[in-house]
Amino acid sequence: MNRFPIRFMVLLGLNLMGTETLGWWPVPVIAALWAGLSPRFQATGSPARNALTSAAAAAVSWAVLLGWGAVHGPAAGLARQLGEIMHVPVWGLLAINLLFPAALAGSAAWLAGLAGMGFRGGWRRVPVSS
Amino acid sequence: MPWFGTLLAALFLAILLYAGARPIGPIPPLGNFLDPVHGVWAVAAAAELPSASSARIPGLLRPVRVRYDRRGVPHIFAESETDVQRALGYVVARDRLFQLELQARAGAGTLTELIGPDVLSIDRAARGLGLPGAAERALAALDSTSAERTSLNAFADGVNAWIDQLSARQVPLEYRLLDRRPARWQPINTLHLLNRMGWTLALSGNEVLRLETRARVGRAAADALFPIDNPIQEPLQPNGQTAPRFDFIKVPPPGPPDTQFVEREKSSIRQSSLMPRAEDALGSNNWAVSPARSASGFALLAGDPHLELTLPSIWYEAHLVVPGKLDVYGVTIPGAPSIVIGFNRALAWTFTNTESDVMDKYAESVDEDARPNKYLLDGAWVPMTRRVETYRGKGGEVLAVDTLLFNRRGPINRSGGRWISTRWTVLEGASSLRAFAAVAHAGSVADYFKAMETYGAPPQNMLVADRAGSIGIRSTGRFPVRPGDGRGDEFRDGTTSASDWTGDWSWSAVPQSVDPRQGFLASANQQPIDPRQHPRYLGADWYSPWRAMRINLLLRADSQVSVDDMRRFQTDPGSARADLFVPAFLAAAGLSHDSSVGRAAALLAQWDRRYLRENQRAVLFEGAMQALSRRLWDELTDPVGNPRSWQGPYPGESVVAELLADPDNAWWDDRRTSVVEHRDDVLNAALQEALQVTVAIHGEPDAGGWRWDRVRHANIYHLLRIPALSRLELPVQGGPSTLSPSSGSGTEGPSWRMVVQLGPNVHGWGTYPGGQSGNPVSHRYAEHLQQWMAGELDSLRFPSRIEELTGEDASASLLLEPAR
Repeated sequence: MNRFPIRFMVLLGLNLMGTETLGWWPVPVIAALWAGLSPRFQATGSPARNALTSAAAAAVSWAVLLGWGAVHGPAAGLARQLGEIMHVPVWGLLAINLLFPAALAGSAAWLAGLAGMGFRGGWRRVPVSS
Repeated sequence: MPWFGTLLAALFLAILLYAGARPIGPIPPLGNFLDPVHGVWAVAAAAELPSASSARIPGLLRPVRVRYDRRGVPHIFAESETDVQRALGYVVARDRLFQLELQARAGAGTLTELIGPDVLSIDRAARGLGLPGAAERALAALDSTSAERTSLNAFADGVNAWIDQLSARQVPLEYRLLDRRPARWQPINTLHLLNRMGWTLALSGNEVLRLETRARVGRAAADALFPIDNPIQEPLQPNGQTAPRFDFIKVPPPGPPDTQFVEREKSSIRQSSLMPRAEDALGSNNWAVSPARSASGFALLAGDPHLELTLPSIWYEAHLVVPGKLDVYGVTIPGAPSIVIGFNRALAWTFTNTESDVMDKYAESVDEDARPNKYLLDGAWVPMTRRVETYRGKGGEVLAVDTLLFNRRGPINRSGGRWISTRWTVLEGASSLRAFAAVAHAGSVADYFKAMETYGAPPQNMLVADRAGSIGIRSTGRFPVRPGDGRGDEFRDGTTSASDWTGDWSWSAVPQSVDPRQGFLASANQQPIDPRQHPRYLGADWYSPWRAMRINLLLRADSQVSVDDMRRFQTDPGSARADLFVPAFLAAAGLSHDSSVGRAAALLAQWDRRYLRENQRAVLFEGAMQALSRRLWDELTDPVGNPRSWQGPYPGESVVAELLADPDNAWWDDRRTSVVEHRDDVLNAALQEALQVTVAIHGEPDAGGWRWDRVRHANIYHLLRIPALSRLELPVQGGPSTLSPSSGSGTEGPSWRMVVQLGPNVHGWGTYPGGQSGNPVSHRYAEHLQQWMAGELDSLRFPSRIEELTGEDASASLLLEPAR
């Protein structure tokens, strides 16, 4: 049975809760813990896969939160204004807004995965990239 | 390789974490900024008021109910005035928190702590004028149990209650862009704010202007170009005349520069800075008609203070009620604990700026020119006081340190080769707080004037009308009495106390009128009193009275003025200036055989002298007026005895009108040409030039490019001048010197328009170019803008009981309760 969707949803939920309650910094923390503690990683996973999963979960969670905000306020107008202030198109602003958590989560997961392997002496067994 | 990958990942993560937590250059910390819940996006979620909410305010005595009407105006119903002030602080902070802090910091000279080093020069100017010290002295002078001090504390309680409860999601956009958090509000901030208004409205530079003009064209000509008395008299205190009076004199020809004077003052002249002419920009209008001249039989009052137009607006509308004690509606400046302009159940009032001279400069002698410690006064050396001013950046780092010097008159600055002290009523603790609080209770014109006797600065022409049908106006504030000739437009000798002010004008002496026979009163920043009635010096270089002339013309012609007339007059497109100058251009052109002059004159003759949006000829007239000034005042622009080119304002257009009556005056000659020009030559050349320039810039006359709304606009900038948050290039009706003036940059104009009918039930109408909210994505941010541009007014809800605001009339409610 492919448990990836469930794992992804759990990771997504953690990111949603973490951001909602504490702000942006739980994103890398959740990703690092996820990568460090993931049983799949310990068995057959790779740092790259965990990094990608964490990055995607973080980006999707922020997209959900942005969408939720858009339903409850004039987010489109705000996006236009912010785009003008920052001299970037609206889509660019949104891309930055999703890439930032993705990069945070991805790099934290990648680092945690590699560090975890190093501590366990697993660098020889596990491919660096997938 | 894994070590390399680990290092790379660690480095990448470190960079992201740093960028998330720390600002990089102008970019705020990305984590806090981009966070979809607590970051900048939360601004959208906080854009509108919740339909019902509650909060607790420390110090509140009893619950306060607030209901917002459909225009977003809070109607505050409390059981005591201090509770009203607490609630006002809370609701103003809720809507305008960033503006509150910005405006107070502008007066305190601490903008750098909010914005950064770019605004250091503004802070230096505020502190150099002595504004923060004046606020500190004014606060210290207030008894801790006084009503003023109590109101300052109560307002601060309310603001701080909002700040203390502020969640990360409610932080205004500007703080996020600047990466700052709101600072707690101190009671002194209100005084900083009021001082800042004094800076805007009562700073005068007549001494420097006269000095520079005299150096170029001699004393006699300088006095005529920037006269003490305006050549056109249409005063606010009626003088018994039924038309403006033209007191034209023969303007002395430009004389040789006063070489001795220039030599003595050379360094001062070179380093002095002239103030730009604010005419038609920071002006204001107000007028009232008595019941005998109103269609309804009730007194009517209209007012539109002209200030810098900003988003959010300088004004915030509110209705303050303590049943049986207080019931006042109007606009307040965010930071003030009371209504500044408005109406209660008995009367209505509004202001225009008096434009009087309440700032004098004294040439001082000091013990050591490079580092003075003492100044000479009546033959003795008197120690100066020092005040060390430290300017800090956003992170608290020291940006600069100044040691400022003060003597008994005020701040002393080195200007050119000498030390100049400044005395200014704004610095002398004349708080307007008590006056504003008291007028809310006034029941008649007489009550109102009595209440305003504690008002000091900046001087205002205060117009009031009451329900009994009385109307009145008085130039209100401290007007210094000076020794000798009484003039305050020249540097005075600082070494003797005989130069000092000897007192203030008595209330019976200031310009004023109550229930005049003419049945109306009007002011528009003109010289307030006819010098034939009262020749004492009140100021110099007054605004040309074009707006005053127009209002008076309209009011004299209408003996049945309605509320709608009052509204219409506020955006009346007619111009007394155009009425005077257009015939002069056309008459001169009639004598010319030049075909291009003829063509320009034919185009100008097609103009009805009204600045309507669709008008296609006003642009030509404005071009001609500009060209006329440049050609007429060549003696000022041509440096004589001074290496600098003229940077000051040109003489007022009343003086140009004065010269129109003297066609052979030497001022008409353009000294850059070999022939001697006379009036008609210059008028024709100016008109000809205007046509050429207008065609070059805007195309052929009827191709659409000459439409007034394509040429002149209102530009309403956000407080931080961020274009994306501003409303720019707005087409408006009106031009220079119309009642709703459109100044060159379009950044100043009518900041609040109000009409009040004083019938059995007082009814007000009003609007302003903005909205109640400071949140740029709120629908309340600029919701009145279209209405303001169209010259329309909203009917203002003025309920006696909160229950009257229900259903569609109410947009939100707020319950404020005492903190446990």
